[in-house]
Amino acid sequence: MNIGLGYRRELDAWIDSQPPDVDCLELTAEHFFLDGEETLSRLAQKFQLYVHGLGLSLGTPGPPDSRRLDQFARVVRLANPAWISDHIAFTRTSEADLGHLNPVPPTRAMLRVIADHAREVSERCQKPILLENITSHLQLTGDLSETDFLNQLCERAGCGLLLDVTNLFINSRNHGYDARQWLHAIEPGRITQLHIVGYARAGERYTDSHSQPIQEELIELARAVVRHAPVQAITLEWDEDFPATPDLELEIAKLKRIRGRD
Amino acid sequence: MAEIDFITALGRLLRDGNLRDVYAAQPDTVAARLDLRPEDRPAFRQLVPEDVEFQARILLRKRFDLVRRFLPDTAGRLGEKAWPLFLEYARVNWPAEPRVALRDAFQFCQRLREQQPSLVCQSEWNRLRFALSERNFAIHGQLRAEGDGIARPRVQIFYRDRSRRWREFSFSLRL
Repeated sequence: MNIGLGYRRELDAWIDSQPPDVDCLELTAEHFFLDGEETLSRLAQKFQLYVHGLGLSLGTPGPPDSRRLDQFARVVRLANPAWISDHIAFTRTSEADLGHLNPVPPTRAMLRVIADHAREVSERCQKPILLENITSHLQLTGDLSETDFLNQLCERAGCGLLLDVTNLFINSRNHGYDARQWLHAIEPGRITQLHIVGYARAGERYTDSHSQPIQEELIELARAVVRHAPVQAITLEWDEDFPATPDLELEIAKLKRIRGRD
Repeated sequence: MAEIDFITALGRLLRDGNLRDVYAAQPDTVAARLDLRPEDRPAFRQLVPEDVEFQARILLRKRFDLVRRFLPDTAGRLGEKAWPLFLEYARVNWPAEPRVALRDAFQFCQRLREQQPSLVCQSEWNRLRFALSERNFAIHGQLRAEGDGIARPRVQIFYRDRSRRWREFSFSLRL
């Protein structure tokens, strides 16, 4: 299982030093839409790369945004990743760009929309695609349970699951269900990659600020995932208030604990 | 008017604070007003208003983070008032595409200039106006531009090249 983190420009100096415990990097496609060829080529020589999208809006009915898809495919071509990924979510509607991830209802109709879009992106980029669960403060209802929806979605799209352990934990706390029970309802062979970062709290709610050290409950949950599924990579997803190098190394050491061989 | 799907309806709810207020009291009225497809109405009615508001706040916070990048000095002058003032503006205003974040920053600044003009950094306002315009050239002079805590005369020059990219040159005068 590869260990790595999301590439962010703020961490460039540390990443450039090729930390010995970092095997892979996940690039956010949108960060390279306008430039960055040189960086992509430099990183590709040193690390296994994965390309992760934020805004393909796979849950929006209708054709995908062709300009975004062109830009995404360009980044994939330059980075030559092992796989690509985006979210089970929508970020725009037919009327407006909402600028961030929003949940989709677990319905058969939505399953067709996302699966068709995922297949289209995968074929366009000529790479396997993974779909990621998001944090949702809305509990949307449909004709499927969330786990059935995810299993059937992966089956129909012919894709893997990028399981965000933090998002699973947050949703289970906010919506009152058992994360391990949820996990065991997911077809293990689909879980290919994990995301993890510490959660935050806003009053009663758990939130994903992408800026907190990984808590012990998350490590335990991630270890349960690794025992349940043939996970190939785990990446730390830190986006704000970047820690100093020793703290970052502590977070990477936690990923090694999750892997279990260290 | 054509019927809309669940995603479009939820998108409208997340973009419009006034609509969310009506939804909280009368979800069926909003579903009917939006002409939501009958098959999507049960799921729409089950949305919890507090959760919709929380999700909407997440989107607003993302907008605010982008807008702040265009307005570092103005945000600095506003201090802790920046977020509540942005929230008041943004909850009922959603900028049109393209260049959403730039337009958002411009419209927020426009609102601030009406309410508290002294808190808007003139240099940032000039930059936003030029970036959104189609003009090839602009020059602005200020008698007292703040910089490093000192007010000095300042000149800003903007121009667009043939590829329509724009550049800015500015200099302050030491008197």
